[in-house]
Amino acid sequence: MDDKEEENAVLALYPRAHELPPRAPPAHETNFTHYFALDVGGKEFHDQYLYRHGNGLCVVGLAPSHLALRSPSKIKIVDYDVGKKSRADMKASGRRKKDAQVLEENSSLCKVSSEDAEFLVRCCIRGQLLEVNERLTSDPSLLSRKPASQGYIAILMPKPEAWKKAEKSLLTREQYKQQRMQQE
Amino acid sequence: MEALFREALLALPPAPLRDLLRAGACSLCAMRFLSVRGRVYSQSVPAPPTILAEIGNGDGLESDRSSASCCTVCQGILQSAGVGLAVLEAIQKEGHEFCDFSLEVTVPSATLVRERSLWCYLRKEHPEDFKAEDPNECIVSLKEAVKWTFGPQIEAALGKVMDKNSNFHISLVFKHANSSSEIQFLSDLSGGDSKRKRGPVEAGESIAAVQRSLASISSDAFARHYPCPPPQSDTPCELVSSCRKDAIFVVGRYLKYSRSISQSPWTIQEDRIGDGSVQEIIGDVIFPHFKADSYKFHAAGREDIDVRMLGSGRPFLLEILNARTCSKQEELLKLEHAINSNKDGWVKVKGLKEAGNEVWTVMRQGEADKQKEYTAVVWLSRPVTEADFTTLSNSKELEIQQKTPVRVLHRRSPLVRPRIIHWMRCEALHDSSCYFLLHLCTQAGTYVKEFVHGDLGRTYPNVGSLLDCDAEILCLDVTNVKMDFL
Repeated sequence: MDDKEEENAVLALYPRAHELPPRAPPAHETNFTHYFALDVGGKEFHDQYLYRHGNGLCVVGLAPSHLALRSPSKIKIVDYDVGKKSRADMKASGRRKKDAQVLEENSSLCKVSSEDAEFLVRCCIRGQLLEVNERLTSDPSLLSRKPASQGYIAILMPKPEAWKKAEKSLLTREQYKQQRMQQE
Repeated sequence: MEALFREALLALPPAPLRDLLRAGACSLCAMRFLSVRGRVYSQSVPAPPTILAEIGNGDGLESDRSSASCCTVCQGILQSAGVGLAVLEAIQKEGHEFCDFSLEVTVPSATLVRERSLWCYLRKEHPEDFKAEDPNECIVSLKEAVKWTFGPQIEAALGKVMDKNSNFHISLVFKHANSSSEIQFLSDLSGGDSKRKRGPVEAGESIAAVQRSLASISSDAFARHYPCPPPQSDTPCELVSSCRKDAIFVVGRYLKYSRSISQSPWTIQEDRIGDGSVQEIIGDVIFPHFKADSYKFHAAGREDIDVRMLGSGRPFLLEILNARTCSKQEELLKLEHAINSNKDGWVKVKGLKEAGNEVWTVMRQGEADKQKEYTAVVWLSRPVTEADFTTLSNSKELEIQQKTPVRVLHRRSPLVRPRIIHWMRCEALHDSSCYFLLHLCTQAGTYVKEFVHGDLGRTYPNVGSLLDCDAEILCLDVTNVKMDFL
């Protein structure tokens, strides 16, 4: 490359001031569409989020208005063992996710226990369970500190038909803000 | 009678020659069976009756097929007329430019059976001279004979030389309508050939299959099921000639300046994503130049649609199939200039040139070893400090564990992949307290975006965890793809 080209190449790396927004939106907001489920399992304020990626995968977690995050008592335990088997034992292998367990909309994912209460987290959509967040088992405080990102509960892979069905009962972010934030 | 032929004729044993001709072999096939090789095939060779008159007809005129119109072995292949012209026509129809050519010959499977039949007969009559069970060990193959017979004629018609290493292949396919029915008895005989795969009976028709069947049958068994010498043939073979050029490769490096161009065309349910693709921008300029059937685009790795490819560029090759024209380097330079003058300026190429098959080894070489350099614009959830810069630049050969990023998890195995960040270097951005420029060099196969934002903590360590805050990536550029390439 000649000098002028080289100089241009280096300059190309520097963003202009107007290209830098004051706050860079987090990756889990840019790459996912956020949906919300209120009062999951019929329990008031058991609110969950469902982040849907462009490729169809769904990340499930506790919404900001979830009771477990609002109460003063700390989250002590996150347990993926929900009865017959532990969700943490699941093994999906290979590109086609062989042996990944198919869970239903109201299947439970884990039990979140604080000092004085227990909360059951559910799938909210039918799909294959690809991953649970094992970090929550060893560090439950992560759930209180970063529920929207690193404290996610699980990753599911629903089929297109399952998504169409679930979408009908989920709220968009705007709808969620209207319903829940108003109570602030 | 031509001198070369007379010389060859005198060297042959007369008794076997006589028997071959009377059994219905043409002069050239008789020569094949008696291991004659070389230039004599392309000469004008007299017909069997003339030769028999020379060497003496022998006694017993009952079964004399020497005057038959069609050879019982090659069924007229070696007597084909106008081969040079047929080839010339086929090439002109395609409009190929070429410097030399190689010949590929296909003959009907029945030929092998007929050869075996004549061989069995010859062995029976002259057991001392012809001992081998398998004729292929001694006789000149029909394919070779075709090349000797017609090679010079084709060379003359095309004005080009025949060379087996040529990249331009002329195919002579001889067909005979009765070939499949003639070999039917073989599949019945070997009954359930273990090598036969699922599929129609055509599978048994291939030359290789027939060869295998013949190899497993003894001469006696063969003679019981097929007449020796072979029966007369009434219809000659037909010739279909075609031609094709080997794939040629145009190689170079590309740079991508746009954040909305994918590497190859990307469609999701009939909607096109992005403003275009590197493949099309380069292919649309280069492909028309070669008047070829089609092309394939291959690159040494790829970058996301929103990531620019800067620096010395990414190596790529354009595989061009059955090109009609040959290219010269000056023309390729013009094409390079044409691509680089595109008003959009989204893609540029460097070092465009033609290369041969060796490109594959170069491309694949140490793909896993390659290191890549990037520059990312990083945002932190709190003001950037010098201490941050020191922390990152002190990290050398940092090993990270990456769970399959969520954005590709739908099509890749859920695994944890260890990767190495070889080095990092930071640069402050003026008038910006929370952003900085991160230059880094990583192992091939590292997901850089995920290393910065952490992918919900599934890539660890990540920039945020190293600096004890939240980190996000605003944009990414590839600044170097290290590869010894052309």
